Amino acid sequence: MVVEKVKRFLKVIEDKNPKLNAILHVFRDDAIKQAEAVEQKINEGNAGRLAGYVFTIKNNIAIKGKPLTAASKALEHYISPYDAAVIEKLRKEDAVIVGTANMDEFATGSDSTTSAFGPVKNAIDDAYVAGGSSGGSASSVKAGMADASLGSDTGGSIRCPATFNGVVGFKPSYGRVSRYGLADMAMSLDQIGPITNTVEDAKRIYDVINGKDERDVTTHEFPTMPNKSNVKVAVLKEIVDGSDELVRELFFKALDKASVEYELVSVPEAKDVVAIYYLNMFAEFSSAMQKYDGVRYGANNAMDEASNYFELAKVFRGEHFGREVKRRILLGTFITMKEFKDAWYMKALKARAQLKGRVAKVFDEYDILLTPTMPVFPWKIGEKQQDPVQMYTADIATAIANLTGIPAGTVPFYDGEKFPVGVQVLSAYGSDDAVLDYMARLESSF
Amino acid sequence: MDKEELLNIAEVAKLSLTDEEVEALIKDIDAVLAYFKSIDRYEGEVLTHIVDGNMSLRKDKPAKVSEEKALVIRQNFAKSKDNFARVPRQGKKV
Repeated sequence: MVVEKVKRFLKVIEDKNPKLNAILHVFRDDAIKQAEAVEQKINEGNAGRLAGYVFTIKNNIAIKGKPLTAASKALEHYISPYDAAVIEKLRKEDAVIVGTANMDEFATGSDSTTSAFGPVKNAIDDAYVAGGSSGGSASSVKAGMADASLGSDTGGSIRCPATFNGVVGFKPSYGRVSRYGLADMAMSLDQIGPITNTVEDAKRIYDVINGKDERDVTTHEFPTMPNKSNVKVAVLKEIVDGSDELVRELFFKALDKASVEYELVSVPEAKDVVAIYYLNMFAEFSSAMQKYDGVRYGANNAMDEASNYFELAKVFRGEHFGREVKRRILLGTFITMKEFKDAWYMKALKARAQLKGRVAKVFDEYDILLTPTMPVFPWKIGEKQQDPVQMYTADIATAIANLTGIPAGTVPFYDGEKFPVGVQVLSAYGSDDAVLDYMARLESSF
Repeated sequence: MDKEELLNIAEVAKLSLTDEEVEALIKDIDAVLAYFKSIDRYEGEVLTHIVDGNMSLRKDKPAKVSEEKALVIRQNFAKSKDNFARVPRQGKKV
């Protein structure tokens, strides 16, 4: 049963991955062996909550004994010595892992084209980008290579590719899911979450992976949130206004289909979300990337030629990081340097505080906030290479959740177009169940 | 931003850049900073924590690492000698 399913998925990977490039490493023998063990447990009647589920895992999440590349040449030869906390949890509940998912290099992108191992293609139409940075995760699920995937989300990297591939994605509240074993991009923004075909699957996986972990001190106990049956819904004006006309049209059609009663709410700071997000992320990213110096994480490098450590690090990093990674490291370094810190990084922190306060106030009055997940439809491969700013503006709706720590998920709505629109559901910090419940409600209406 | 400024930042960031890269990056960075200048208007308190309240920090004690795990860690060293990672000297050679 499970073995059959795994073999089926492996066949799909064999057939479709050469085109889609969603998977970096396939775990053929391991997956079949795992599946056999799970089948045994199912027969014995003591199988876990994810028995029968087959996963791909974004390749910035550590799997013991497997390559952890983060889609970068810098980590091409690095083997993870341990399982990430989320992988431990998946294994404990008898999930099977069939392979690692391709992504933007070190998560730097919204279309999964910056991978050092080739771009990921959209599973709906392979002339288009898969979205990012968890493009391989979403594409592999849509293409039928796995039941589900785990991705990571710093400014929208689960929800964007989920939307672009027409599947479900969920970013938990910051602190719900342990980041132990995640190759970090931005420590105050990252969260791991599920990408699935259904909201039910997303909820089941979230229930397994969330929980306080001693090894990630930002995880903590959450108070029990009240479960409301009658929810008051708002739509975020600035995001709707900032979206393409067709996105807007489909978004409101979706709300109509689901008979959503809502009020328009304004968050003026939302207009600056792209600036607030990217500046905060640049600073943290440049810090996160310091550790990759060509010494510890597997490298063939000019160790003997380098005259000192700084030369070694400089040359290694220069030769093994892609353009977008370098751009972000430089910007992050710049805005945190003594001379420029007040004008840039401190301002970004002030802006973030103000946005967080304003969004919290919205949830004093409303229970659920809705926006289009992405302001645009997927673009063609190669289309947005030249202008970084244009790429960055794609995150306007999704980055709000990371900046403020709140939970957010996306449900696809199809209306005869090739690509669906994503409806993004947000709620107050800690209200993960409320978000998932509302997502399920929308899904059943769509 | 001029070339000298960028090269200075690259030095701090430990990134070697080709001349071609420098040209392209200056353009990109100027464009990005121009677009982000809008945050200039924000005042007030800075955000220092996403999670309100006390985080329970772990004790400052070295973790125990199994020999199995240590082996993989060491296998990842670019260059090693005995159980140590080899690193070029910190300062410049005389």
